[in-house]
Amino acid sequence: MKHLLKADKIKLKRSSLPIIILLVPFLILAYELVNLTYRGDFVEKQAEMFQADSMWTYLLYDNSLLFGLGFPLAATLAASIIANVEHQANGWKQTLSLPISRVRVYLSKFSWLFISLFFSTTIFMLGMFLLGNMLGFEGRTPWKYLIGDSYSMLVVILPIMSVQFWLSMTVKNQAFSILIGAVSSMMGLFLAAAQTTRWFPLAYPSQASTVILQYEGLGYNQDLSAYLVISFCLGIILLVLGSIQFAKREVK
Amino acid sequence: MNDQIIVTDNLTKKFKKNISVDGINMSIERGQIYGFLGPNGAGKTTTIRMLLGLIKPTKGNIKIFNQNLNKNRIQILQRIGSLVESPTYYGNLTGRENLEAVRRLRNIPEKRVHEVLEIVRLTKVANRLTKEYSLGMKQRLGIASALLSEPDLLILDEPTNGLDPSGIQEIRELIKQLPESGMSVLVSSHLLSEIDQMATEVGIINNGKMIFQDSIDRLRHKRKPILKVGVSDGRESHSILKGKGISSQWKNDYLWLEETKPEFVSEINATLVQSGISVYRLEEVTKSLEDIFLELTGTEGSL
Repeated sequence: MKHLLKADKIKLKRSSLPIIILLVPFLILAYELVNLTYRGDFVEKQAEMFQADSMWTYLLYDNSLLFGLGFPLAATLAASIIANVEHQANGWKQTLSLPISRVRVYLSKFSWLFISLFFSTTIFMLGMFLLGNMLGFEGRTPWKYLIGDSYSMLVVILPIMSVQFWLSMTVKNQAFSILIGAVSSMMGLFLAAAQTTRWFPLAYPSQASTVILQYEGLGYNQDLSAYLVISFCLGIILLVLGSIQFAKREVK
Repeated sequence: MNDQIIVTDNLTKKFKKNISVDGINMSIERGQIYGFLGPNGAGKTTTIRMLLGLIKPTKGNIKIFNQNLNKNRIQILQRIGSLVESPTYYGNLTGRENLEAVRRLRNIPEKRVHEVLEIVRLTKVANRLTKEYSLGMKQRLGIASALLSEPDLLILDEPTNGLDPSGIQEIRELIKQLPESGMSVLVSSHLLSEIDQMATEVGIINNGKMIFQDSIDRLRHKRKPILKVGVSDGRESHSILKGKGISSQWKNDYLWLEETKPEFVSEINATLVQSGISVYRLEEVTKSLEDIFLELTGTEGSL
């Protein structure tokens, strides 16, 4: 497996994967920077209205919707880039006629998808920390919430990762998987708006923040642990099903 | 010791209703260069994909190195190098990095990359991105990655596609050397002349069926020369010769006989002339391999 991971690493050299990894955190952080400086007065009033205990809490709440829309898109594109390396190279017939099990080939590439997205959320977390300090947010840095916000997303996105990855690996035309990914991340926003449909896994990314708006103002997200458990189990199941299907496919 | 490298038993592949490969019994022995010949769409690539476990046969068995491909796929692939159809190349990587990716996967010593680059003469362009390579260079890169693991069995599907004449010759010389180190080679092509110049064994496939499988010498034997005789009256000559117990054929305005020995030819000539028939041509005709190929495959299959 170690050899496989190394081989897949070299195949990703000079690809546009790093851009995708950086794009979503940078765009959101840039938006927040503008939001917190040019609209500073308005934002402070709103934070008061929402009874935010500090600007950190407000920031965590405010970016959750954008992150919830943007991160599934990043996962879609990253999965597509990783799979497309092989499609574009005409590489399946070569890679799959080497002495390695197909399930491993699948899991190795999935590992790189996970690692890329791990970097993406880590950059997002560090970016929030820098932004807060740069703008002189009061109070101690709430590391627990910053970590929670970033890495919950990584877990909550697992089912979407598994499905998008499988689509990109098995359907050569990447326009197809990217369309599905784009539509489903937007659907997630709408599903999250209603009381019942918000339990649908597509809706989790936009609700995966540690801080949400409740009747009494901003507070801790009570449902997060349920989202995490459901997403983790579902994601693993979908990944296993995808890898089994991939191993049985005929290579054209 | 059994020296059979590949044995297939009634190998069949159906795609929906189309039978692409129909009951092929292939047999390749150690040290052979097996030329797998057939017109476009005859089922060569489908057969090779089945041999590599890329697709599953509808029916039949494959044994490679005396092991069942179905059960021991990974052990078998460990000893195979392959190049299937259009070459694989990761355009965002250099030639060397392309081989490095395969090298890492197979866990082969690093110096081997050097060696294979040297063998296919890509050392000079090894540090250029492969998307800038010409088709011939990509093809050679594919051959290099097939050779990387020093396999016991090399499977090359149309390896000379897209190469220029000197490139074709190079690859041919390269393939011819391989059995010296105990390697067996399966090479497919739709060009008979190519197979003729390197193979020791030939299998000809047409419409999914194996129509000939034997040594190349046997195939050449089929091109035994025949005698073409131009006479004024074909029917008459035919019956005269028949009376003498010599069988002949009247076809395309000429009389055709099986033998070409000088004594035989002059005897025929004398017999016919003495019977009052004028003979205006006596010619020895050798069938080209192309003729034999077309004869075997039938013209509908080719193009």
